[in-house]
Amino acid sequence: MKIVFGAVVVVALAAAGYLLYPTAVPGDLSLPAIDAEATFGGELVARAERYERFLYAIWVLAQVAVLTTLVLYARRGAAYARESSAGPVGTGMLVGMLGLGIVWLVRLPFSLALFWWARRHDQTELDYLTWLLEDWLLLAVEFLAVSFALVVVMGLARWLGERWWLPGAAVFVAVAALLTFASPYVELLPTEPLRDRELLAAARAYERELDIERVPILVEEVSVDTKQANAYAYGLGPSRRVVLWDTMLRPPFDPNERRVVLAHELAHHSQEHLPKGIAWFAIFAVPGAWILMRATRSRGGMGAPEAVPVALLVVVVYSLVTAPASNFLSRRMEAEADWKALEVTRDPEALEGLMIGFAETSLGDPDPPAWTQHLLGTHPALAERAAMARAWKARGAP
Amino acid sequence: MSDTVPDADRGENGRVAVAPPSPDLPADAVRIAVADDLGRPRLTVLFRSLLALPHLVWLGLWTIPALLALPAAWAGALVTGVVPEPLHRFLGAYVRYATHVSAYVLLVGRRFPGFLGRAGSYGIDLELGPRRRQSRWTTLLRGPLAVPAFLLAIVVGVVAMLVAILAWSWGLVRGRIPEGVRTLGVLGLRYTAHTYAYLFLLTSRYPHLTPPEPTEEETP
Repeated sequence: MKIVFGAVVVVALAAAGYLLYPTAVPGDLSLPAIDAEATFGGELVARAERYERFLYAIWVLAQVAVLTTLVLYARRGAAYARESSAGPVGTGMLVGMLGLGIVWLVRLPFSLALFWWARRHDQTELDYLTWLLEDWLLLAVEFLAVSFALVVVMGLARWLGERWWLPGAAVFVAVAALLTFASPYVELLPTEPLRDRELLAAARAYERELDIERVPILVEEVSVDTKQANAYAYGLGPSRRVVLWDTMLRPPFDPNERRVVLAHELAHHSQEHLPKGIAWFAIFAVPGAWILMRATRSRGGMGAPEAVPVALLVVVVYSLVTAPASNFLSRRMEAEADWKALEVTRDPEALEGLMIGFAETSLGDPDPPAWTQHLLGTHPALAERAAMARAWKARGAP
Repeated sequence: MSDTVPDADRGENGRVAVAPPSPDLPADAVRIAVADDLGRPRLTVLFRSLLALPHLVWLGLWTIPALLALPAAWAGALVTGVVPEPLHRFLGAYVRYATHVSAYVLLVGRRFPGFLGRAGSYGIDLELGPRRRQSRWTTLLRGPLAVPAFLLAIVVGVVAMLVAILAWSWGLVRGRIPEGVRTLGVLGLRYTAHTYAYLFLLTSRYPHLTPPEPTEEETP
């Protein structure tokens, strides 16, 4: 019976993946080779490479330190249960939060090194105290999140035993959907509606071409903290929004490049990337919950607080192991948004110029090592995106 | 969430570090029972304010029904002379839980408290005497009468915060807190809890600032 049930789940997940996988990017599209130095400039490429090399090194060291810490915590962390007068679930929350706290402490020197490096390269205007305070507040959010997750998982595990994993995964998918829907209503940084009339008119035209309802375009004020440029699409259904960082509205970006950014973000909505992202999350969450159930069995299962340190290790390892797959899917969606942006703006030069602008403002390596793209690359490399612009042009603009 | 004391919840001397409920407490009494040791693991000291977050969220949620129950308790006490038993139990658990959480945040208590405010479930416990008849006049005027006590409670709260900062620094360095600091914290907690117990009609005795009485269960 269990085998049949497992087979049904696997087939259902595979079918969902098959349906979600296709994109609007032509399957036969081959990207031309790009000479990064010629396109982005030799000095900029060298600077960006040097900048990112340090980030990669710190990332690797931090991962090693965190994994080592979590292995040790998985062995000994259960002893912290004696610091609780609460019941099993409350004690599990304490053990989970302390695990996160230890990880935060271990990561702190690496985070500090990254911040120092970003300041040194003018990537942030924050001072050390503000940065530390923000990191502390982020940890507070993580403490609450892990507490909530443990209440759900441990509550279900104590109620349903080892069968908790499927409803548990369903709860997390529902929470992810709820957060995606509700996040536009929680304004963490001040935003205001876009006032640039030409850009707004372009957005309305793109919405018609992409066949989507009107999406509010907002501008987020980040220029006091950073020179980096970014934009993003978020929300679901009626809460859909597009946000441009105010740094996007300044040089080195010109109006054509801003239009491409806008079209790219609107394409995320027209191609339903946010609901698809939730569906992909479900495809990863279901086996992840099953693995968690199996891995914590020897500690009494997820209903026991002693299992929580092992669970933390399993979650981190699972995220690392699945990162190449989830990043690959993210890059596919980003490439599709680029392709749709090219279709509606018909301006490959602007897309290429935008990538050069990103390299300048964010010191992004146009052509990073392949392993970093596998483990960290949520977007195609800048050179790859410029190549797509050229490929679109080569296919002949309509 | 159950709120039982796990087997692992023993003090360094192996004694169960919780205060048993005191059914023999005189009516109207409000007392803090200390059955905790002075050890404070540094990790739990460093992250104490963040570790308390789930409790603060839960306390915030619990405050809503507690505030809704208060007028009902007030009306009941006004008509019958005593707070209805279920409301007395509910509001008592709420004030006790708030005391447990405050003790944890202020480092007066060592361990992570339970979420149900059960009597005897925490090393720094609020003991409330059994409910009794209350004067209808003081019940009618309970809100205004509580105002001076609340003003003093604010001052006590500020002092308790300062003491907690001292305890935090000391605990981080030494891994334990000085007994005098804990005693000061207990004094502040008792006064604040008494003030809330008075407002919530759990006692008719007016809040007063007197040093806490040591309890038999207290461990060094």
